[in-house]
Amino acid sequence: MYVFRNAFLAAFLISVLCGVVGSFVVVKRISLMSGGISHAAFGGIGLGYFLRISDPLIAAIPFSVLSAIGIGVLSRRAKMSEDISIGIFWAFGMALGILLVNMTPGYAPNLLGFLFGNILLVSPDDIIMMLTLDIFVLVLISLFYEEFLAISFDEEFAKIVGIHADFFNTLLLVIIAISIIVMIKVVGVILVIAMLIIPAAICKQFTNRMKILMISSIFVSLFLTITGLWLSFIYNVPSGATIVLISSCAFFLISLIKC
Amino acid sequence: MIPVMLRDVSVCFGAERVLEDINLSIGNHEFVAIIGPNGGGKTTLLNVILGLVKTSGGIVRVFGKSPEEGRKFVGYLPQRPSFDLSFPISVYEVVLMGRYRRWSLRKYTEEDMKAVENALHTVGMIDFKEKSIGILSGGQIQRVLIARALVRSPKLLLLDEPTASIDSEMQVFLYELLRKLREKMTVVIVTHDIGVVSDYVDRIVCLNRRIHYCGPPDLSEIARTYGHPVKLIDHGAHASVK
Repeated sequence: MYVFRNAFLAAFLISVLCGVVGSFVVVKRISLMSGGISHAAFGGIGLGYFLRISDPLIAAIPFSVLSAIGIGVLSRRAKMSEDISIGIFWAFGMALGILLVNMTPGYAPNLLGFLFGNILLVSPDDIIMMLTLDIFVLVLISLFYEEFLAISFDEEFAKIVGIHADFFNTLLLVIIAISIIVMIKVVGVILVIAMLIIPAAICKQFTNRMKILMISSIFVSLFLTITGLWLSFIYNVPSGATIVLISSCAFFLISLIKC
Repeated sequence: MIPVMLRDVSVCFGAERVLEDINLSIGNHEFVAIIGPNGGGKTTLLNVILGLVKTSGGIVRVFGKSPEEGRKFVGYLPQRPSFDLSFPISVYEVVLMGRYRRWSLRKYTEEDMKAVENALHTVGMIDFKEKSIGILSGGQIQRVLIARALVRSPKLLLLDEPTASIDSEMQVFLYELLRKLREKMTVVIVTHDIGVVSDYVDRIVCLNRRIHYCGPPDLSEIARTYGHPVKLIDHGAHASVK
């Protein structure tokens, strides 16, 4: 039961971020960029293995934050379309991670867990780290909610009223990077983007208010995560993939009914 | 302080000169229309006043300050709404953004809310305040965006083709609104409605990279400058001075 208590706590902690941060990803249409950041995080995990840090995810935090800043700056400054720098960062992080894991002598424990997630392997230490990062993200978002809303809605106007749009765009990417770290243990680097966008993408079809979108997405995410967890337990299949499959199917179904 | 002062301003995008030798002063409570062919630099000129485009030469002063500093006195209506219409936000929230202040802990005050209501009243959109931005028509969105510009109590209002996507009834409403607003502020409008606008404005500026005409809305005078009838000036992409 101990395992399940942690799994439920983890489901709750990631759902809060899926709702709050995922809503911004969806309305600001930066899901591809968020996908880039999540895959880049694997480079940090590889670095964690290489440096023999007991939890490689700790090393992934600064690495992801830096790559989020990198993706943000590059896509703004480079004289080419944004998706090019995103695509390159995407593969760069994965490649770096694979090389670093390969260069680490011995066996890399739980590597598949980082790639595809395993909610049943979430430890009490993980819960503490997730809780800390959750609080950090929520404090930042509530402090700068108006700014984030303004740059997401209309960046040009945000600049005119004196909001430092570049700064807050980058800060939002950093928040996304941190949220991804929180979610990696549960759904893994490769699948994390689905959980970040699906709950908000479902709820956006039912509401026209940002705050309602955030709150309803939290509950939808919680429902999907726990349903996926339960099914994966019954049928003895990987939890991360089950959660993402359930969520994707829910999205397809609701989008079909709504259209 | 004079709202807009441009001296010898030029702007280049890469190798292309978009604006050249722009000298223009706009006084308090003046109502000025900027006309000219597409690609003639009209929007760029507004962006210069807003400080959103870097000049490659010349001096720009907005209320005696740099455009960035002067921006707090300026209300702006963009040519196209630069946002996603499916964004989950209400009319009220959109206008409230105009009252944004940096580093204020209690973000919006009673006064801000009253200002939003007033601005929505002015443009006749108060009944829509709880509606989502996505369900509005083009003309209604323009009115909301004008409210968003007005809520900042600007001393200078810049409008970039506000009538481009609206019907003629809305057009009349808009020009009547601007006629009222100019009592309180300077109004600069970029437009193609050269016939209508001349009934309202004090001055017309014909812009095609350079200023070709700047003076009272005397259509025959403008036509003489260009060498062909006024209605052609606006549509001819290569209108040139005789």
